[in-house]
Amino acid sequence: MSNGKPHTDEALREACLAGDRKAQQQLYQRYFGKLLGIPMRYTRDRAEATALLNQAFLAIFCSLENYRESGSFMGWMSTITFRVTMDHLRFEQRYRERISLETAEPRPQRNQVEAELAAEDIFRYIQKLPDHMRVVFSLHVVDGYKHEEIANMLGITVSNSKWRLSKARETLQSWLGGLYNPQSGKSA
Amino acid sequence: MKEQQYPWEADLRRQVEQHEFDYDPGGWAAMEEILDGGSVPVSTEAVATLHSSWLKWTLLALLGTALIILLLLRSPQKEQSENLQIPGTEQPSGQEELPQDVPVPAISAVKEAEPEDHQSFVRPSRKIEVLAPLPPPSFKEVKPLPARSDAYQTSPLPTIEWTLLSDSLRTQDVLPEPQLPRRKRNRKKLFPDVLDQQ
Repeated sequence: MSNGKPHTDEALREACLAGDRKAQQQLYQRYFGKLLGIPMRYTRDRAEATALLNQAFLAIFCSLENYRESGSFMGWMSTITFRVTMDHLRFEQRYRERISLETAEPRPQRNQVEAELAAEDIFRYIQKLPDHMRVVFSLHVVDGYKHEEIANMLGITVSNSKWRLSKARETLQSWLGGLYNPQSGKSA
Repeated sequence: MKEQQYPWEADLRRQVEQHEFDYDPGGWAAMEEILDGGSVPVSTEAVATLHSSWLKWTLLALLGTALIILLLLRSPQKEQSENLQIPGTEQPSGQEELPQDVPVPAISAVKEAEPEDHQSFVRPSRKIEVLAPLPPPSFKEVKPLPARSDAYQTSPLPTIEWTLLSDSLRTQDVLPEPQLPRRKRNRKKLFPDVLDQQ
């Protein structure tokens, strides 16, 4: 596994199970960019998201032997990353109590909004949302969870989940107003 | 319907799902540390908050306990009882000196006084003194009460002869219900304003 040639996922998995550090690095390098989006939309910055992704990769390396080839490998890793992210959010919610009902987040600069909206800008605006809004927005809009499921996950009521989503939508629309037209649904 | 209501979200979701971030070599360096150390670094901010909250609650609990103890020590009841204490009735503090002239029995003497055989009956050594007989009681002659005046004398009550009641005076077991005339409600008197409006 140290010859530097590209390998299939299956070969990488076998090498990782044998404890090959190079294979682990190659697997990490291959899926880092794809999986980082999951913690990125639930955390405040990239450093926190990277730390969470590393936790997820540790869980992936430790449970590679449990992977069954019935589903896609990427989907399996995404599930683990999502679960690690959710565990982190629950831990933070329990001990930190950072939920503030009124947002005091700084509004993005206008010149940033006026620039062409890239995906990383969207991530940045999502990360600028207050914690309680960001989590519900990402779970509902991006990951497609229902309000009942979100309420169960976060230990909140359904109406509270709906309220957080509407607040997040309102805030994001006010920030991205120059680029997204909510009526037409097209970016300017 | 949701996409019709918020069409911009579909574009946002597509961009977020399809976006691939650049590889960060610093991430793998941190990952190697985890793999070498075997410990997962938890978010330091959260841990710090947890520690600070733990410390905060402990300090608050200690402060509260100290405050309660202080209040108990300086309660008004104690001050009142201290002020109302009668002079000369102070409770012994244990520091007073014992009087020197009181003989203290030795422990060996006390032990000797105890019977060795606790099961058998020990006749008490104390003798019962026979008291001298008391002198006979002296009675004084009591004068008889004066005769009762006539004003206090009462005449005897007249006797009543017991006779049987006649059958007509006996009460019936079940009294008949009184036949009251049926009451009629005069609606004109009760609701004159309503009837006037009609």
